[in-house]
Amino acid sequence: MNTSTIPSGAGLLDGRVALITGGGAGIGLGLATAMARHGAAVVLASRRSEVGEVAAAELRAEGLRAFWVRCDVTDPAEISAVVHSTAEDLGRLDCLIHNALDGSASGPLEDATDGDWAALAATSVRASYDCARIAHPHLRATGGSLVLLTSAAGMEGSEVRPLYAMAKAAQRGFAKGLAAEWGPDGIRVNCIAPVAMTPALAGAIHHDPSLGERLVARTPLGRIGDPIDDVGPVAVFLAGDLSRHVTGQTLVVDGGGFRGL
Amino acid sequence: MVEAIGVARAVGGLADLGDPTAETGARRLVWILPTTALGGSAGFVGVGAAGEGIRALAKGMARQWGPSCTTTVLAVSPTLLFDGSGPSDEWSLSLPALGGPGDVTTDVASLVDLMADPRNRFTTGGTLVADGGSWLAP
Repeated sequence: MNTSTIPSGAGLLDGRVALITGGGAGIGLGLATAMARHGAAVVLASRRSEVGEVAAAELRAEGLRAFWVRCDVTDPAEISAVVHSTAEDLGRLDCLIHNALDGSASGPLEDATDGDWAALAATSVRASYDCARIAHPHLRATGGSLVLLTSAAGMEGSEVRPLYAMAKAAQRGFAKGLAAEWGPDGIRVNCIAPVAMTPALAGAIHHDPSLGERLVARTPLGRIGDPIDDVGPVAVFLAGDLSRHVTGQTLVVDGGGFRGL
Repeated sequence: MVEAIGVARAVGGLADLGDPTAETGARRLVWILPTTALGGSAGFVGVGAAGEGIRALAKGMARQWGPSCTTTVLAVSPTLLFDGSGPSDEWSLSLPALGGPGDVTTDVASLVDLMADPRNRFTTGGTLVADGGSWLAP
C-alpha cells in the first residue's frame, strides 16, 4: 500500500509561504531563491532596502513570487509586523527561517566587549525566541516548519570566535527543546549549519587567501558550497513534506568538513 | 529568560577569572550543566539553549587558553539541579544503566575533584556525562 503524499520533481513548495530573516543577501537569499524556485512565495525580511528590495526584484524578474519587507530582528515589534503581514497578505505562513545575524567580533574572550555579546545575543538567541513565539500560531495553523541557521562552530567551539560559537550553540539547544515542545502542535523545528560562498566569506578570503585554502582542504567534497544550489535544497527539504518526520535535528551542509555529530 | 541569565553568568564568571593566560599551571574550569543541554526538553527550551551555549563557550575557551586553563563540562541529571518542577530525563526509554541519577555528594562531587586534580591535564573542552548512564549518545 502506498500512502505517500510526497510530491516528486520540482514544485516541492507549491502554494507554500516562507519568511526568511536576513533574506536580502548571502545564505538567506540563497535559501529564499531555492525555495522560490520550488514554488514558494518568499518574503525577504532584512534591514536594508537597497539590498533586499533589489534582491526581491531580481527574483520577481525570474517569474518568482518574492517580496521584501523591512525588519530589524532586534525589535520584536518589527518581527511581529512582518510575520503577521506575511500571513495576512499571502494567506498563510508555512516556514520561518531565522538567518539574520549581527556580530563579527573575534579574538581573545578577554578582549570582547559587552556590545559584542549584546549584538550577537540580540540577533541570534533573542531573535530566535521572538521569531518562534510570534510565528507559533501561524505555523501551528499550517503544520509548519521553523528553521534556525546555526554553525558547526556551535558544536566544535571556536578559538577565534567563541562568542559566536556560544550564540550558535544556544540556538541549536533552543531548537531541540522547541522541537520537543511543539511536536504535538505539528510544528517541526530544525537547524541548518552551512558553509557557503557568501559575499562575507568571499571578502574574508580576499583578505586572507589562506582561509579559502584551509576551508577547501578540510572539505571532503573539495569546494566551498553555493548558497542557492548546495544549501538551498536543504531549506526546501526542511520546509516541505519530504521532511515531515524530521524535527530537532541539525543538518550540516558544508561538504563534509564537520563530521562530529 | 534563562538564556540571558545562564549565558550572562557564564561570561561574567569567565571575567572573574581574570586573565587565564597570564600564568601557567593547573587552572581548571568545570561547568556543571543538566543533560537537558544535550537533548532539549519540552517546557525548558531556555535551559537547553543556555546549556548548549555554555558548552560551545567551554570548547572555545579550551582552544583559546590551551594548557594554561583547561575547561570541562560535567553534564548531570537535571533531577540533581532542579526540584520536581524542572526538566527530566524524558528522552530515555530505559532506566539509567547505574540505576538512578546519582547523588551530588557521593557521585558528582568526586568527579569535580577528579577534574580539578593537577594530574588531569590532558582533558579540555569536552563534556563528561555523569548521569548514571541515561544519556549514552556520542
